Amino acid sequence: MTATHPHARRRSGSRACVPDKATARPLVPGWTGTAPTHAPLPACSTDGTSSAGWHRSTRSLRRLILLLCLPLAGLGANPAWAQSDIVGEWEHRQHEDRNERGAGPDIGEYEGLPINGAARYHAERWSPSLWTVPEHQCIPHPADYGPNFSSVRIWKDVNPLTQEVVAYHTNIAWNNPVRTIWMDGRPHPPANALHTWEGFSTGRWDGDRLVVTTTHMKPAYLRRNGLPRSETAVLTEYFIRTGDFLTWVSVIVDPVYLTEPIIRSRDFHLNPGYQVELYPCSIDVEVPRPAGEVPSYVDGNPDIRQYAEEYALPWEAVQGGAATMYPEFIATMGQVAPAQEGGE
Amino acid sequence: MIGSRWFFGSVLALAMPLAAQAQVIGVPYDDGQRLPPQAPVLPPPPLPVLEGSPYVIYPVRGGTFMISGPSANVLVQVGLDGVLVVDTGPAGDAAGLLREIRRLSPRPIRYILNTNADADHVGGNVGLSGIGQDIGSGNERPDGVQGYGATPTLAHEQVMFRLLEEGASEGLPTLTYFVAQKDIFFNGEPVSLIYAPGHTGGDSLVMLRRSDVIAAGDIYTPDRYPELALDKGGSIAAYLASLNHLIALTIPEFNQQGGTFVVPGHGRLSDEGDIQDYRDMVTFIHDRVKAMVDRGMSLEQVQAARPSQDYDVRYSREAGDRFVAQIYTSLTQPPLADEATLEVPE
Ligand SMILES: [Zn+2]
Repeated sequence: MTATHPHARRRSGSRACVPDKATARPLVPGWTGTAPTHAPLPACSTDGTSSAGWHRSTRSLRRLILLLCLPLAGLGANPAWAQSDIVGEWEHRQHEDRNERGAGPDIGEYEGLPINGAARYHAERWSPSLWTVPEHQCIPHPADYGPNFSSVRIWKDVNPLTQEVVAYHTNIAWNNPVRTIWMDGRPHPPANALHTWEGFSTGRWDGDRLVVTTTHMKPAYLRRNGLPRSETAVLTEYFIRTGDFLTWVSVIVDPVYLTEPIIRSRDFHLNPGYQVELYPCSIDVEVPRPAGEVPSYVDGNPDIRQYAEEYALPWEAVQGGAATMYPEFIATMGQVAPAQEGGE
Repeated sequence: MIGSRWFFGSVLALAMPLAAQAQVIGVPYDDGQRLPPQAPVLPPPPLPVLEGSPYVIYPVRGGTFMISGPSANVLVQVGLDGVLVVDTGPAGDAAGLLREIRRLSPRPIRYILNTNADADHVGGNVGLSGIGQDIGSGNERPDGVQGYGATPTLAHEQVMFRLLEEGASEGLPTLTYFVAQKDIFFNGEPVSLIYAPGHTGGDSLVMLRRSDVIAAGDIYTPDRYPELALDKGGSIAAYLASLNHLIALTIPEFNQQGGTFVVPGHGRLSDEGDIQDYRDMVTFIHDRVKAMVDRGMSLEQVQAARPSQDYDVRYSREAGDRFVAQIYTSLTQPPLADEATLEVPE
């Protein structure tokens, strides 16, 4: 029996039509990327000659046969640049990051997160009632938070003329945010372009891993207890498929509120029957308030220590910070006073 | 050969939708922007930047564009009637700004609207107004319409008063208003200047009703703290009221984004999802400072407590101290005689 390497089906010459890279043009000086090549597609042929005038040669039977065969030749081929595929319905295994699902974390629960003092200060004054403010009710989870949470559907757009993957899209149930991951080499927009909850994402294959870079995310949250994440953050993701399992790793770098990156991973299992639920969200006044009132604790949440006290955890540990991410921190925990004895 | 015409017809039919999208002015690629189930419609990507130009043109919706450069943002609306410009940048940049506007329309600049009287918002009035021409509008038709030559410049009357105080003799508003709202109709849509003070005493929001685009001036500046120009009629109370008024005017399409787009005085193109974050920030810092004021703390004590520390990391410590001082002074000084008060829509 001949062993077939899983990637043996990757063959060169499988791409029926290669856009002329010379037509790719920078949109903005200083951008590292290039404009998409899928819109003004140049025709091309397998022998490397330009076929820009092919439509003028209708009398050439030889040419016609060649052209008719090209799309068929493409049918049996896999694109050389797609090392794997992530399309499908994926069920969240929910083996990690329990705190980011369901009822979520406690107030004042920051251990293991590389936050700075500014993030902590903000979260101590944050009120869960903020979610009742009409402008907050229908915010979807941002790109760096949503994968913690939910099963996901991933699909792709394919350019019918080249069979190139133009973009991947993801959709999760909570508020149905649709993400787009552009695969066509387009640049990230300049700084003052609109920011969105899901940001502007571009992807590239690094071997079998899909590596996605996301910028232009609206200011949002690192955790649902008031820890903020700024609009300057950059999200790098790795999609790693192993058979019917998908590992999705997110690396959040936020120069405003983090001193080190937050790295989160989750595993998903292929579940072709999974249906993303509809999530209609209507904005309603749930709590009558004076105009312009935005709930917060100006002097800090009086219950901020409740979590540490309830679980008898050292106050220094639940305060978070980069040191609390590392195993060495455990050795210091015996030396710090429990929260009950911590100074108010 | 029966297959050849059919075949090439099919290829062309397949190719045409892509080609048609590529030809839309200012829309190099917008395929895939509207996606199932209900992804909001987002603005197309920016136009290619001209060699050596400091400006980026961001299409917003329809005939509206945000021109963003080293100074205040400019909103341009183009159409069959001509060109409407909201804010005109600093005086020295008018030629460069005009070059960008001419990429969008060759037609005359028919209206200039100013959101406030700052030099980086009105400086280009002189340079841009000479090339425009009034076509008249309702009862405001000035004498000598055809030969008028200069572009009518609209702003709140406080803008004119302040420019006169500062000794300006040209580039002044030619049509001012002193009530809650001033309306015109241009390029097929209602255009309203809505009095929204706070940065100064003479700020206006400019709402393009059919385009569903609002120029916010310095009532919303997401790349920096608000500037409360207390000596020019600004105040924290009016600023917050105007920011909430702006939120009342914006309506998101889906996922708390899209829908009404907002061109800020400075910073990124936005929708309500961005403005609420900014409103929350201003409210939080105001509430903290006010609690300290109510306890009788001095400005030095309030600044030492650093009530803006969670946002200073985003902007700067220095800017935070200045903003806190402005809030403190605004809360403790007696209001100016002409300080604005306005009703906030529910
Ligand atoms: Zn300004």
